[in-house]
Amino acid sequence: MIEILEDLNQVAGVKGSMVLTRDGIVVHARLGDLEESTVAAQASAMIGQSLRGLEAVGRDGFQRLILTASWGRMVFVDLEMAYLVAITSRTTRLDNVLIEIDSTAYRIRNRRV
Amino acid sequence: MGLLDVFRRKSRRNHEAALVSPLAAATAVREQIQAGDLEQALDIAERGLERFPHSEAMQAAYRLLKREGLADEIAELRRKCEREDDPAALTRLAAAYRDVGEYDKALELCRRAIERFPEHDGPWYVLGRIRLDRFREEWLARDALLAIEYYEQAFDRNRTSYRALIDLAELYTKIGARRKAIRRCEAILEFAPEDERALALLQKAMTLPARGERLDLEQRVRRFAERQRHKANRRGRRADEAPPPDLALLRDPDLLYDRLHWLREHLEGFEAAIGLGGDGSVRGYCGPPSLQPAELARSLHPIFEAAFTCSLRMDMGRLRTAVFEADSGLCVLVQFGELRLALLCSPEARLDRTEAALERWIEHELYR
Repeated sequence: MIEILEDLNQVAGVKGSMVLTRDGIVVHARLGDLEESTVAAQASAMIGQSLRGLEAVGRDGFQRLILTASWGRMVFVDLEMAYLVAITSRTTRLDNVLIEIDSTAYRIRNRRV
Repeated sequence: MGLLDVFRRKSRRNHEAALVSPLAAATAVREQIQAGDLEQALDIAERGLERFPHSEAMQAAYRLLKREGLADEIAELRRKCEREDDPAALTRLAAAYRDVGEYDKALELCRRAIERFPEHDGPWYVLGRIRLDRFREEWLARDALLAIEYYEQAFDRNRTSYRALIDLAELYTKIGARRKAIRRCEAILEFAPEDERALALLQKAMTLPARGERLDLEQRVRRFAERQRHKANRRGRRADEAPPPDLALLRDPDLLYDRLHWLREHLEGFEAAIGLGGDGSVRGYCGPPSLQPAELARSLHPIFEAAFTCSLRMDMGRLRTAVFEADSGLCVLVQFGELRLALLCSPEARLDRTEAALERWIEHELYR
């Protein structure tokens, strides 16, 4: 799985990526300069709070979440047992990056162990 | 008045019409770029950015314009950097990317330059400028602290780095760090004794209270950032000042309802839209009575808070939007100044189909 994340990180605009469980346990991470504990803590809080809030408004979680801030983006993709989290730059075209992130999620879901 | 003046006045009036919303201004900038009139494009872009400093559409148009102007220089510098390892060229290329708003490319080049030429001050200076840009946009203390750190690194490597010293002196003066500001001004005056900017700054620094509160640098920066944020938030609160669009919407429930209602008319799969204050209070709602606005607010407010905190802790700046896609539909959260907007759609509303309508709503309708 590490190789799959490394491939994703080669895409222009992707700064780092990780796979973590709903409880915030890091399965694999390739985060470059980003601090693993910070990313894991924030990603897991974001996932947990979103799932609780969405359930309360009658939604069954999310397949993909795109969080956009002034200077960067985080994209979360549901892998069923875990989440793929990619941190990307703000200036890169989102549609291009999303194709790569979705393709990475597909590779992770369908990889042979 | 000559013909040229008449033409200029007329074209400024036309620009004024383009400045009704960020989307209109950004479109006008792109049209002028296509017509090859970069001067007019710059005029609209600068006024547009002044009026809508946080608009994504406006920032993107400005970046495009800058790229247009610096395209040749960037191409030439890129060729130079590919040919040889030159710290000055790497720094200039990083600075050019910063100018066009390609901050990630600029940061990557700075890192590369620091790794290969650890004694060169240039990349540290560019890093400082990038953090200063960020600080001026959002007034987050962390950005100013990092800007200071990077400028000091540049100064450590080059004791006559005028640009780093002048930025440092200005920053120290603004945050009230009297001794540090004076020292940096004096450092400039050692090699440029008649420099007017340094002399003026020194004079200003000298007027700062010599024995004020005992605060460390971080405390001073935090206090200054807090003041600046407060100042920014006060905009439009005076009776004679037109309120910014977020405050106007927060104050006027009918106006907010009108904007939320626009989505019902224009968005496929629209279910409900709600406007919340920063404390999670309901300010406006458009949707079926079966969805209780207060219940919606109670559920959505914690997601807003988590997204807001996540953006800040991840060093990505302030939250703009969060888009949740699921089989059960789309949920979009928008932080619009002090106003928080949430939108719920049925599965019909796929992101790729609603993107244009959402952009028009955020970048045009909310500003009208």
